[in-house]
Amino acid sequence: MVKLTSSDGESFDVEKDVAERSILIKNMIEDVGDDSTEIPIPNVTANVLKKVLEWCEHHKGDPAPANEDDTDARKKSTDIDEWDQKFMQVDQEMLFEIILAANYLDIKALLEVGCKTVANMIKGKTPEEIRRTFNIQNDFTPEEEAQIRRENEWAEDR
Amino acid sequence: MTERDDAGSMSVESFYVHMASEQLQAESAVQDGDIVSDGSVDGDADTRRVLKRRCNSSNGDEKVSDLTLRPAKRRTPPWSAMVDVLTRICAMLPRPDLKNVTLVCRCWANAARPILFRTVFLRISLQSFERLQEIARHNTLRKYVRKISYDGRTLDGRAAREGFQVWLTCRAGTGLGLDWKATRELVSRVDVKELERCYSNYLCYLFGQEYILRRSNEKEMLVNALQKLPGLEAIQYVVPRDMRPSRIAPPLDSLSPSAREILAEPQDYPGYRESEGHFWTLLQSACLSGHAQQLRTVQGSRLDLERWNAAAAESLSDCYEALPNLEQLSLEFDFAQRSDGDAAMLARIIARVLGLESLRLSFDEFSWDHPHAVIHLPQVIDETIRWEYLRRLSLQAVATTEGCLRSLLQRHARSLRSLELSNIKFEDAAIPNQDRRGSWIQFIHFLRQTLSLEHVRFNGCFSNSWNEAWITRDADDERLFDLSGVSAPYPDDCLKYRIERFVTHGGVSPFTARTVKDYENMFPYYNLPWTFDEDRSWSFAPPLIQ
Repeated sequence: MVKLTSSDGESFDVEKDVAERSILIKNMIEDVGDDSTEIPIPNVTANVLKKVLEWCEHHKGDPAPANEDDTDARKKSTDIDEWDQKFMQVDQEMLFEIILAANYLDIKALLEVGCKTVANMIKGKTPEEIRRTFNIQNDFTPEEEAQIRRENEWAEDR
Repeated sequence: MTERDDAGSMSVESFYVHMASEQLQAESAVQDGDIVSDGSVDGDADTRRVLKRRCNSSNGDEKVSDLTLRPAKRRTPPWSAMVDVLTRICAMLPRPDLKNVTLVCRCWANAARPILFRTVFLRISLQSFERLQEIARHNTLRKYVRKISYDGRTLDGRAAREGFQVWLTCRAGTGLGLDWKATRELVSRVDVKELERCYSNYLCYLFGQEYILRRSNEKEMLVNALQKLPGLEAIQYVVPRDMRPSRIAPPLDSLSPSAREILAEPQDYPGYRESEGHFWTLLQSACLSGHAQQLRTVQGSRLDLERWNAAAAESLSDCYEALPNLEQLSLEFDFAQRSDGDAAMLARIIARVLGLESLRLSFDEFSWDHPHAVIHLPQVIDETIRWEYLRRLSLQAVATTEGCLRSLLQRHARSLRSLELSNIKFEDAAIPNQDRRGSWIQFIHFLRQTLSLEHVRFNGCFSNSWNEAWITRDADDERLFDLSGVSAPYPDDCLKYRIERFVTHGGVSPFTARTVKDYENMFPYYNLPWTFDEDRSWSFAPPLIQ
């Protein structure tokens, strides 16, 4: 077992193979060389860490993730496994906290699921619908917007 | 800072920095929350901070319902702290969505635009070349370009030159992937005035196409544009394959902008075989425009080996002899079986590339009439070659002895992680005996024992000339071409997937040594010393033993 401590001081006892889904934690365990040492996770709060560990527990037996240099087709795919879809049904704040935690902890597969979830929320939406979905303010002037539209026409879709 | 060369108008990036600077002056204090550097906007650090902060989401109370996710309640995501993540998300989006993302806000535009302009898709049309020039003249966008993907299909000019009526009958609605009936239905939805406009555009397109293909215009235009793209590192020549024609005419507004203009799309004509010339012109232009040292990827498809050899002779000195940093080479030849099989030029090119990480060589589509290739592996890959960093190898339609293929893989056992094989025939070795005839089952065990593969894929026909012939196909391919009416994916425990999993992850071999009792139940495979559970994903095909 490995003991992890969240940024707000809560401790979690976790099986080593679950914790080692995180490359950051795996490297820390290797560096310390002692499984019983408490590992601080300063950038992740307890409620987010709990959620991340739930994902790691479910996926602890998964094969190694595909390489970064994989095919374009795989990178473009936004299919998400059913369990992961349900796992990601959280409010946006938690979704982005999970993504940031996965990025920080270096859990590529979880980061990918999080990004795919956001990508699926973007697909098929107009710029205004995307802004509404994510509460984003349009900070373009009309001239800038027109210029981007014009330049986008240079980018052919094949 | 980032003004366009030609028009002198301010670019979007200039706007960002200009407006950020103005805001800097107006604001006396800058809060540091959610501020991170992404390096994607030119300018000093303070300017960047303001840009970041301006890109943050509003704290408005507006709530939007979403099918899968509830909207943020307390605070909105700190986008500026997530530029890397935003870039990952953008990389997953289709281009039309990516274009919408560029229009959301400045922060999202900064993440999306480098991905949108990373690959420039180019066609043999003047409009397409003009767009490439626009990008090449733009001081910021030109720096994003890493890859040129050149589509070599052309419009047929013969019918159009006979006049409007002949064009209407023979060419209107062609190239859109529709069968004849759907094509006519699509055309019937367009009024005569619009048809006349499309015909006029079609003629203009043809004129542009002819201009590009005249003398050395194509090369000159390419060199002129490519020399302004400092980050260019990949070239791809593609001729997309025609898919099974659709019986349903799509809505007119779903057609591509180009197709809406000319009511057609360029096609790959069986009689039109200029692909090899376009491939070499693109490669030659990339080299002549100063990118030979930095080219990492070269891809070509639908090439005729014989013509490719002939066209290469004209461009040789400019190109392949000076590609020291090439990492990915993918060349797919059609009709290689029907050419004289001269692969000497290809072998020389391959032998010169020392830092190869990914190699794909394909010498034909799968053909029931010619299930086995006439290109022999040692003809293209010298038996002494060893690429230190080779991670991915994909071979299609070659003949080899099992020993030769084993030797190639063994030389790269340390680095090789991905292997794809398709339509390979094991030939008899020079001194034929039972051991030297080659066995795919033994080869599969060799892969498991000798290599550390993370990905393996078998597709097509695998045979020797004695007792083994296997047919395997991806279920997706079967559905795509409707070969056998397969409508569901293969089950996870099908023979094909068990074989592939055995190679990558080990475990129990799907092939076990045969006992005397098994002999009675394995009549069709009497010559094989193995038992296995055959299914439609991987089946025995005796007629292919030849």
